[in-house]
Amino acid sequence: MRIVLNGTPADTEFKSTSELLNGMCPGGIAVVNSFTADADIELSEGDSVFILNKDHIPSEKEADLLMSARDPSRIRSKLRSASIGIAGLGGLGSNIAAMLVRSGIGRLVISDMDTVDATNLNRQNYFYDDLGRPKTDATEDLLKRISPCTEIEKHQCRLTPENIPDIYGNCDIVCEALDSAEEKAMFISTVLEKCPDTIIISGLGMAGHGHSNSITTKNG
Amino acid sequence: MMVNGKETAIGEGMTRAGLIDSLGYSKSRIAVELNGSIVPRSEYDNTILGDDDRIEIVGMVGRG
Repeated sequence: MRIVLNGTPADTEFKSTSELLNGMCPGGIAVVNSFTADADIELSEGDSVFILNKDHIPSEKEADLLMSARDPSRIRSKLRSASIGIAGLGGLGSNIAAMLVRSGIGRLVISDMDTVDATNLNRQNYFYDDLGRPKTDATEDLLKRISPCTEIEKHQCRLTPENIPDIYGNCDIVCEALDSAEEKAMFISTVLEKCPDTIIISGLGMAGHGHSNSITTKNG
Repeated sequence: MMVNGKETAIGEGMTRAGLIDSLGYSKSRIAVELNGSIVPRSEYDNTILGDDDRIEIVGMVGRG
């Protein structure tokens, strides 16, 4: 029977996850077609199977594969081939960056002109020992700690209509996470005008207090 | 003409810049789409709008 074992096509004689684990990794955990096999599961032709050994620290390449063990393979390859930009590394951008690396994005392009200060620590993804460092450097270090397998391109600069196409023009999607209304308007206008193949995501004015059940959404 | 999805009566000879001003927007805090295409800032100018035009003006709210 042919299955996909830890991301690579492989022939196997094993008919179930218990046989597979006993033969290859006693005490290990099997993830079959994105779901952890809590019970013994019969294997079928074409199944995607990941084997996880809790006692072994995986190499960077193995960890990269295992991070996406729970994703369907078509999602995994889409995320892995994506190039995503983040403009601004504040409360939004620093957290978006970390979530995207955890999601298995292949390449991130980040930019910020600022350094980390103590008022940032209540919501931004930085630590006391980052104070005074450029946000691009602190974010890059954090992302590399989460996973070394996402390619990071960083730009410590103020964004302008002149440099935005060079920095973000090759991104599939760019997340606008800038601070002031003026910067947001300039960035969005520039990407829409000069980067026609790039999709822009922007969140505006989402803050406040109240009951979460009273939030309503609508299209358009 | 259509302004942000609503049919709106505008004065004869109303320009892009004039409409933006009359709606109370600050030019540095908006992105503008006219008939489906983004309008570069340099073109928030004296071009006169007509009945068939559709304009979308997105006002920004700060913090990120």
